[in-house]
Amino acid sequence: MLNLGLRKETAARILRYTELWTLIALIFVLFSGIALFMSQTEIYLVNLIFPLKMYALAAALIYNFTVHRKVAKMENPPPVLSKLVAIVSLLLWVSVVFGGIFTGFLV
Amino acid sequence: MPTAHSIQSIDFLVSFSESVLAYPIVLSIHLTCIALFGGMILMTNLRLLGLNFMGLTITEMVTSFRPWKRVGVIVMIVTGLLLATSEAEKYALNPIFWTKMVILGLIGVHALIFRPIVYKRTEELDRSAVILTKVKIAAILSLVLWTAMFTMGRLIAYWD
Repeated sequence: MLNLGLRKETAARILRYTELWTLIALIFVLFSGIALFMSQTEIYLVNLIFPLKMYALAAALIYNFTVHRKVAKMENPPPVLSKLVAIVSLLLWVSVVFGGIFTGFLV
Repeated sequence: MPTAHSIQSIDFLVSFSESVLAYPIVLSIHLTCIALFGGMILMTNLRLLGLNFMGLTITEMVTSFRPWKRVGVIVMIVTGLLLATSEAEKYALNPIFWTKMVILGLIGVHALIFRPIVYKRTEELDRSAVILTKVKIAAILSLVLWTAMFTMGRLIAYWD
């Protein structure tokens, strides 16, 4: 979508190749995440950053399966729209990574 | 470990490890890079194994990701060095850290062996009707080595 890699392919085609793998990985991430949360519930519930990570995760997931998916599937999306949607997607997922790390550092 | 102690006593590294924000920010960048880089490695290897992206040529997969992988490796090494040297004494005594470094060396050996016969000959591989055994071996070893590397990176924190 940013036109920075696999330039000969449309985003729609790359999405078709990756969606099943992404879904499988997402299931693993969610279940392992729930297991980690359940093992130390009391620590996570009082953590100031953890809820922010959860908000970021919820936003990233909703965005991924709505806006991002819709634009990625478009045959000829306006390049500006495509790039904007991709940048927001990257920022959301990166904020989930930062949220995860900061959960462990800032109590 | 006097050497490790003198490394982590460098003023810049002392302020880095004592900063509330700097250390987790650099660690987050390190992990973001791993996520992006790991994704590209996985995609390339799935194509080499013939498990996905079969409508794309091997050449397209390998050459398209190459510049991003290079950037990824540089950022990962720079952030990794910063993280390791700021706590050099702790890392020097950690066998999981050294296992990770050995795996990193093996990844280098993998590149030396397979770059000339696989990754630099993608056009030849695209012309082949079947996926050659050497290509599958390169992909499987790459997946095993990188998975081991990421796992060791995670386990470092759990060694007392």
